[in-house]
Amino acid sequence: MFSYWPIIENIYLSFTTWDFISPQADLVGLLNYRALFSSWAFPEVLLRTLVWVVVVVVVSLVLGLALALLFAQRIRGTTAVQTLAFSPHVLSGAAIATIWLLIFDPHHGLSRMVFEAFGTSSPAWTTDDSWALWALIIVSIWKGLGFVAIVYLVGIQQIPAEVLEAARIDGAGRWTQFRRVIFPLLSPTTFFLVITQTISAFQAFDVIAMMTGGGPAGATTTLSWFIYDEAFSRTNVGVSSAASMIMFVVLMAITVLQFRFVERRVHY
Amino acid sequence: MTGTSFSRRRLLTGVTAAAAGLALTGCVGRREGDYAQVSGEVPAQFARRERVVLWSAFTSHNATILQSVIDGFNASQQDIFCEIQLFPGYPALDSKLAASFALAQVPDIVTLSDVNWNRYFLAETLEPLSGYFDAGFGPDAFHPRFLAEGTVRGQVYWLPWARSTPLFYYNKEIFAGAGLPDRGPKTYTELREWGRQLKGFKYRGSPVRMRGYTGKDDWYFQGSTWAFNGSYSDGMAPRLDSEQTIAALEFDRAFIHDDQMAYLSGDINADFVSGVTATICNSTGALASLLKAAKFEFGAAFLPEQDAPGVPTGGSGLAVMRNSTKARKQATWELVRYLAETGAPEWSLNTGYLPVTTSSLNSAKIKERNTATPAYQIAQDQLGRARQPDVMRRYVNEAISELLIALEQVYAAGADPGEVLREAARKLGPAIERVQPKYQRLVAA
Repeated sequence: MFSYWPIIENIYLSFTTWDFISPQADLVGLLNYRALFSSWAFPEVLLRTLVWVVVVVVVSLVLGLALALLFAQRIRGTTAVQTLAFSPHVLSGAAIATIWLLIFDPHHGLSRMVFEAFGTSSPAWTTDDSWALWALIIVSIWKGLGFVAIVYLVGIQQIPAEVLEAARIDGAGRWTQFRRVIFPLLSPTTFFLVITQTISAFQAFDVIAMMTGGGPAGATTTLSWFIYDEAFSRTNVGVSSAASMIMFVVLMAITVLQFRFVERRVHY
Repeated sequence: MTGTSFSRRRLLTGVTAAAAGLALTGCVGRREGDYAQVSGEVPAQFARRERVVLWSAFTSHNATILQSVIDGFNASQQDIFCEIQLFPGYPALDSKLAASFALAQVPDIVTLSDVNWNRYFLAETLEPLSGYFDAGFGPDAFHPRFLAEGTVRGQVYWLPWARSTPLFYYNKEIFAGAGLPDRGPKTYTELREWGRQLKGFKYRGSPVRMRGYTGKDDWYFQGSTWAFNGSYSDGMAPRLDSEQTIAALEFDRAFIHDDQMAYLSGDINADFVSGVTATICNSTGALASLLKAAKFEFGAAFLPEQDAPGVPTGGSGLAVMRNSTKARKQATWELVRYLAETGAPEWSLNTGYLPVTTSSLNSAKIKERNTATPAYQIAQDQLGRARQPDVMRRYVNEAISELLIALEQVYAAGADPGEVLREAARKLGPAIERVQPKYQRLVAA
């Protein structure tokens, strides 16, 4: 009832025009879908979302794996660093956004100090349309990095010691051990993280809402923000529902493709 | 394999049947009649009273003041208990209110912004209030200028409460340091000239720019379109692409990108109180918080003119929900009466919002406050040149969203004002068409 009924109702709404408060929703057939694909703005939103998802997922996984390998060395103080690295994952998006707004402030923030140390001025991270998306990507990666690192660390710790020992005896150096043994044996973890991080990146909302509101000039409007904006700022419930259906289909397709093609390369 | 395709077929059939069912029964939408009241908490001592729920969009300081006013109401009589439910700003309240209609569970009275109430009016969800006035409490309890803004075809739907206009705020230390006069600029051209004079001036060790623009509110641009003899619309006919409206935005573009003396700010209040910008345009409602935060003396002045004055009214008012029950609506009216006759002076005095009731206009405390802090009096005096925003901004939901995109394209990226405004006008075409039938039926003369 709570999972499937909203989906069914959303399908219906995507074929209507409604503003939330009018007595009834009027059926308009495929008009909302046609409107989305005939506007120049929506394909831009999809492209921006793709950039967002690919960069956030790839960078989170690469940095998270690097961090996990570092944690696995059991250097003194690792536990404290692990806790610190994981903490952004449990912080609310609003708190994270507030902290980063202060950091990115080009007049008084840490960003100003850093850039001035290099003899230049800080970019206007959240009000310059060429920087704003990258500012949010940085925050999103920072937010998810700890979670990725901890999940990878658990995966690394589950690799049998004798396998690594055998590789060492066979003369494998650190890089070869990583490339030929550790990374392939982490493939189930990587597979899990790719799916969960992709879905999470698609649904990212809190940081966008708090830091830029989809602006400036739509520069940070990803699909999730577009859906919200159409529904609650413009009260185009039908268009918003149609965009939600597109997001649903895209996520389903990505997940199915990952299971069909990527899972073949996973070694359990 | 057979099983999979069978399941898929069953799922698709189910989905199609459910969607068809929804379409036939028309279960998406708003039903008529009395709605339940939104849930909440009633303290034990008020349990026997008629409960009235007020949804408020005021936060922090203003929320505390409103609670104090409502506490006064609850203590003033024995029959009604008013419970405030808070929302972090107008958009959050708007979303929740829209959702409440779908659930047929509504509050009784709501603070709706000057651009939100119109859509609830068009959806016929607001209670007509003229019939509630009586000999002891008539329309003359409210400022006639503001009461008229909530009146449609002679019927009052939206009562003035937290009303405001934008003011021009300037940092007196920066102005004195740069050799500028201690007053607001008479025209936008003069503002730009002063900006050139300010170039290279440093305040507390950092360069200063003349004006910080916000990309989150088009209210100020509405005013400057009038100052340049432009507008958003003439009735429902868009005028965004008129030569005068384009000239207003071209002024902003040149000030930001040619002169480099203005910029798109993430937070105009923070930038003003920290001395990053010498001036801002902000609501009269921001005056109290600016006075508290600024560590320097600042002045307030009328908005600059150009070819004409350009001052839009704004803020919010109170609307009673039509789907509330008769008993709740009557109790809500008692609250309205208290707010107008007793609560308004305290509200206006402590928040800085304009006095909008006879009680606050006649308040000795407010007059004393205005003498002590002339900025408040300037806000009241400016009202004589203010008018309510253009019809398209008030009745077409998408108008503000499209305008904000257009403004940010110019402020952030230096886009061509003519192109972005023509594009905004084009994109608003279907939205205007959607609203037209209801507007013609319920509003147009």
